[in-house]
Amino acid sequence: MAAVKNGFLRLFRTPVKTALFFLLLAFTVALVCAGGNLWKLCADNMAHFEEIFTTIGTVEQKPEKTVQRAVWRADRKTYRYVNDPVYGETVSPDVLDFEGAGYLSGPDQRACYMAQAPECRLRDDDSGMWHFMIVEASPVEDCIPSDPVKMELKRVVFSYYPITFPDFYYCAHFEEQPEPMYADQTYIMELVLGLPHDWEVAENVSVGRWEYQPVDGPCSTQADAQGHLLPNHLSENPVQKLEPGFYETDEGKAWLALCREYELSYYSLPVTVTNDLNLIMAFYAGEAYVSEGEAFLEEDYRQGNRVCLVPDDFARRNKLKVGDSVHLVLRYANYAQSASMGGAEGRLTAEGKAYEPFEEGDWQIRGIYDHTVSPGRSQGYLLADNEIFIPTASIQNSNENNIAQYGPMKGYTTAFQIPNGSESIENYKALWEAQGISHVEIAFYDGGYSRLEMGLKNMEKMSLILLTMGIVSAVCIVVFFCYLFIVKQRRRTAIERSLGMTKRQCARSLLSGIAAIAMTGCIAGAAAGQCLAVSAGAAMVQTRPYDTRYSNGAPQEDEEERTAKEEVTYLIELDWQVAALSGSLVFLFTLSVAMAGIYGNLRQEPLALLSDAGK
Amino acid sequence: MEKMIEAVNVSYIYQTKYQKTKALSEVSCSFERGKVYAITGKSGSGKSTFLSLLAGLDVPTEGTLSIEGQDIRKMDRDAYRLNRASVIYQAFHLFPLLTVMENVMFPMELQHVARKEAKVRAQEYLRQVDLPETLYKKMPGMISGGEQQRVAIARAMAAGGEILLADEPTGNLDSQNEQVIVDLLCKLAHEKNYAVIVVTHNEAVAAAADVVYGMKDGELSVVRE
Repeated sequence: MAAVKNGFLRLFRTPVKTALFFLLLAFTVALVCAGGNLWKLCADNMAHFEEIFTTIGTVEQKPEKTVQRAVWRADRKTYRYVNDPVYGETVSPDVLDFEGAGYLSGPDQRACYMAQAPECRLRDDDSGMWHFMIVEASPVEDCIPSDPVKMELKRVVFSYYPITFPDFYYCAHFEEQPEPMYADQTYIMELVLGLPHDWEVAENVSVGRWEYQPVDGPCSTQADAQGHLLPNHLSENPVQKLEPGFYETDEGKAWLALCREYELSYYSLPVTVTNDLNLIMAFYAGEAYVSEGEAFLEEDYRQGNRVCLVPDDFARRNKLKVGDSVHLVLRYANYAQSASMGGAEGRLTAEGKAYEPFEEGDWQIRGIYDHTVSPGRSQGYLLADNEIFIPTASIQNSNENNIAQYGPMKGYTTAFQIPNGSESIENYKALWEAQGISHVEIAFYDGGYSRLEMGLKNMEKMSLILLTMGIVSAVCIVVFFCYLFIVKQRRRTAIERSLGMTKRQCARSLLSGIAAIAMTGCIAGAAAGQCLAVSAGAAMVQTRPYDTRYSNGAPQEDEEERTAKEEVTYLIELDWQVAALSGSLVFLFTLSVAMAGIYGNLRQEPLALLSDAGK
Repeated sequence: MEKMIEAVNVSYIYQTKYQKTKALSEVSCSFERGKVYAITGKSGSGKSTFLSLLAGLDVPTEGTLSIEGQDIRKMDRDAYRLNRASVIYQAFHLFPLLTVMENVMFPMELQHVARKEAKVRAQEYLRQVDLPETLYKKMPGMISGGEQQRVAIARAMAAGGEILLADEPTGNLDSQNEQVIVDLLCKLAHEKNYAVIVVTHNEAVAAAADVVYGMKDGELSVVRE
């Protein structure tokens, strides 16, 4: 006890040295603690954001060139010019399969299927359906339909809505010099209601003359499994003369098939297949979310479970809930467009027939999704009415004979997921550039992760600097003061030994004081470091806003919307264990160095040391 | 007189990694209470090594060193130094951060003597070495060399032992202080019945001793008895 007491007494007799040791040690522990805490905070936040963020890339084949097409406007008697993209050879998604890409999912060019859901009600009412019809009609008099001409309705071949009027106005709206039409001839026409010629000058809609315009006619864009367009002999003419026995000819049969196709379409809805819901932009951007039930599970994708996600209005309309089944009859696939862009351009097979079902079954509802529409989204990225999602592998039969349209990869059809982080993106970009495929562009979306990551990495660097500085200075300070308090006290140890103190008492005498100061210094430093880390953590949240914009392909958002999304939950709760660990480690290191010094002191032969000192 | 310390064929070998050095070679001698012994010899002759063995800071490599008949190897040598043998040095070696009084009280505190009593006894020892009372609360660095050596002797007396070992106790003192210390050591031996063993170069100190041994190359011989 006397030894310990004298140990303390000696420390109090050197207050400056003691205070300096206390303060410097506390300072270094504070650095270690703050650095350690911030480093852990960064690591926690990185892990946290890693969980909630995903990075996807969308792939888009760029056109080789654009060709200007003149489209006649009969109402203004002028041409409207439209730029049509020319893609050349369609690039296969296989080009994305290169070494080092590191995909987490994808890449896949999604198909959107047209599927019948005969047991389901697809719309609340038929509004908007009445403006389309396929009819047989004759002009009231011989005419050239470059302006609206009156047509007598002979027969309705197909319409979604009962047609009651006996005549209508027709204009070959898009042709400058349409073929003449004769009153004694009957024509089959695929028509859609267009705006009156005088619409723009009319003050009231009722003063204009509504007119029907021609659309499509029987055509096919069917492709084989490799995506090549299959040749066909369909007329692609929306207005054709009717001859006796017309419906017995191939052309006539194609018209009837078209009517059948339209009929089937009435009961059809779009079904999009996916291997990862995150690759659907609406889900990725949070515009669509599962409001009931759950999203697909990993095993759903892997095992091809027959499960689906349905939109909430569809579920409500059909009184469906999670766990119920939807019977789907899949007829054709469209690889060129997303569901929101409508059906395939050619609705018939190359043989001029309606597509026959190739897959049929019940898909159990895994979840019901709700969605909002971002105003900045282009058509392809939107979700369609009644759009149902199913896992790609849940379709068991081949669709190779039912590909209604194939097209180049587009952002809304082709996507993949890679690991988060700018490093991962840059690595991918470098590897992709090395592939030398210049006309396929890849846009990355990471929801702002890269910016968050950059901020966190900067902070992590700072924290590591703090930690390193803390550790280095702690080592220097501990070694220096242990030298002062212990190694330089070896003569004192020798005196104590010669006065009869045991080695243990000598060790206690030397260690007690330095241990007490080290302990208080470490506790104070750990507390200060914790406070410092709390302040730094709070500053991190204030100075590092969440920015959802990242990449070259991200749609522009207005400032208000962007600001609204600048909300992300940082983890700022600090762990007292880090403070405790920092303080304990420095304290233990101090004890170790002190013990080493004491051991060195006690190894010295006391009398030799004391005699030499005198001489 | 009864032999207080007896060395029989004591040898001591310093062993380093590469060589062995025989510092003491078959030293035989004895020390009695009430006498002052001087051990003289050149530097490196083995005087301090012998003193170290006498202080129980080490044990002989060969031979027997016994204290009142008890082999030092079998003794609690820390307790021996604490209670029976004290050492004073040429450089005094007081604790620089303790006052004069605290330095003298230190061995008593180790012996668990109550602080009050230790203080009274320390004052008594300091009086016996003729140290002015005004210096009791001073730090060792603030008093002269002679005064420091007197404090060191008082501290040795405070331990309450009967053996006082001194390593060149007057080496750092002027002639006036040297005489004071020599007188003090003689007084301890003759009046207080201490066995005082002094290692010294100093002829005056040797002259004051009752018995003088000479040490050369680790071998001890009687110079004057």
